[in-house]
Amino acid sequence: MSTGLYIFMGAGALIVVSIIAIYNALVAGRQQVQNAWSQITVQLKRRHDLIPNLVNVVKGAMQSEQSQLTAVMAARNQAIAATSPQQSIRAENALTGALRGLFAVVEAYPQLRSQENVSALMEELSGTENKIAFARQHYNDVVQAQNIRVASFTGLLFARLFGFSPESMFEVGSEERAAIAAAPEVHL
Amino acid sequence: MASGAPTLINTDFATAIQRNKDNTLLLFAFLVVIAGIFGYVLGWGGGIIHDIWTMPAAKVSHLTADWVVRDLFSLPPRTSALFGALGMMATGALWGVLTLFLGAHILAAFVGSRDANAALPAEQRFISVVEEMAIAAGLPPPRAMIVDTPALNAFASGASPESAVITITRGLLQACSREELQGVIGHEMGHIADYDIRYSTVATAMAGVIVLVAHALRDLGRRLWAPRDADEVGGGAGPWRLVLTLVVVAVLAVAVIVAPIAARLVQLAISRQREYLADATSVKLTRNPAGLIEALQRLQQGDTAIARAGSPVATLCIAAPDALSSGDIFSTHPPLDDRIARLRNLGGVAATEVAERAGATAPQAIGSSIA
Repeated sequence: MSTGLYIFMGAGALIVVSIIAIYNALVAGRQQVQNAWSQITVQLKRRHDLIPNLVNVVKGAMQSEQSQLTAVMAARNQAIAATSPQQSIRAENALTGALRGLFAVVEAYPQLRSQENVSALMEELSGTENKIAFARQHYNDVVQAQNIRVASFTGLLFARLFGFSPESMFEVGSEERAAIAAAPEVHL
Repeated sequence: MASGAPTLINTDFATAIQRNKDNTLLLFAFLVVIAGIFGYVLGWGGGIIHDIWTMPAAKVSHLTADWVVRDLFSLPPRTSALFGALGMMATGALWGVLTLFLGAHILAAFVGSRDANAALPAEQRFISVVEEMAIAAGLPPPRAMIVDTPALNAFASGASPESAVITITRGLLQACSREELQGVIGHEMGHIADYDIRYSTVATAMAGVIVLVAHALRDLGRRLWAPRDADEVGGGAGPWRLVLTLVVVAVLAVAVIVAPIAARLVQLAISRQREYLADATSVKLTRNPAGLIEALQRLQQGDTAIARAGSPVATLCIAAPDALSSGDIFSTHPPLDDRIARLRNLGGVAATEVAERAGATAPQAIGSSIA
């Protein structure tokens, strides 16, 4: 065989190998995104489970702030009912804002806070809030890495062909941003 | 790489992480090269001494001291030199892998740590911060353990992220606010996520093998250093054979003295580089340089001694755990001031801001917070 044919075959093999590598990186990236998302949902589920307990415990003592409690429960139910990731992101952000409001109110009831079951629940819930925030941060990191892969050169050529599109970030909603700015820090 | 805080440019954690990784790789290559050169010289020495004593006497008298030195750099090199180089590098790697698998089991017993108790509020907080940082890093949560000592320190151990352990002293746990604790645990999580446990174990082992071989040879040299009747062993050219051998021994002596020092220095430089890396990774996880800066400022004021100098724990602690003043080239950790200066460059946290926060959140002295 001629040298030209060897070069041609070598170049062909190189291209095939690099396409396989790109495809594998994209698949692994999508897997990581799904994984990170399921990490968030684990923590969100935990939050959904904890909220009714807290609401039940504080209901009696907080006669004047019943609206605050119903707002939290409504936001929770909406978050559970969400079907698409986009919907879920919006509902969870609203729930985070409502919860911050409730935390601030509970702060104003020292006798409530000193109850052991209330403070344990608040601790548990604020720990879960932190975990949601970090899970979301990790999810966004992974999404960013995948989106760079999809949008940068060579990835760009094949991503669409293989059916990969940019993933959406878990943005902090405008309601929550306002709550972060306004809410006093909760010390437990 | 130490000092030079004024020349630091503003950077972000992603760039800092990449640069530290590149530096480590370079230093690691250095260490392997040192092992290779040391092995090469030893192999060459063995080979040429064998030649000197087996050659016919007539040929030996034509050889000069100059020939001995030129032979060291001759191409192609002696087979024994190549075997020496490969052997030294392979032994270092093998030793590293061995200590990696055995070391983790010995460590917990070594410092006397126990599992954190979720029923105690402080330890509950520690457990949940460890879980938070694991989530932020996208890794399984490490086992959380406590050492009951008032000293201020923390370290990571384990051969892989799946089997990792984060240990903190009771003193540090009680001295830190939640934000500071996140910074400290983020640093340890960084050691785990960046596979420092493997890096530093293998680097320590590689340097350890070089030091060990050098010591053994020095001992051997002293024992063989006895006057002997040269004529008896070497035939007619005995004295000349002995002189040539002494030239070889002089070259070997230089290698035996220089190699272990060089290896130890490079290994410690790697360790310091990994500390900067873990600091940067901590900020990646917490997105809050202020927490770690405040925690490091606490370490500056407190006693961090939990292990003797040169122990395997040292490179994985948050601050140098021995009495050595950090900052010199024999330290496992960079000076805390330098680390704080670098952290301030990540995302540009103003010094005044940190000072204000420290003043607002930590009015009590370290000593008084230890029960």
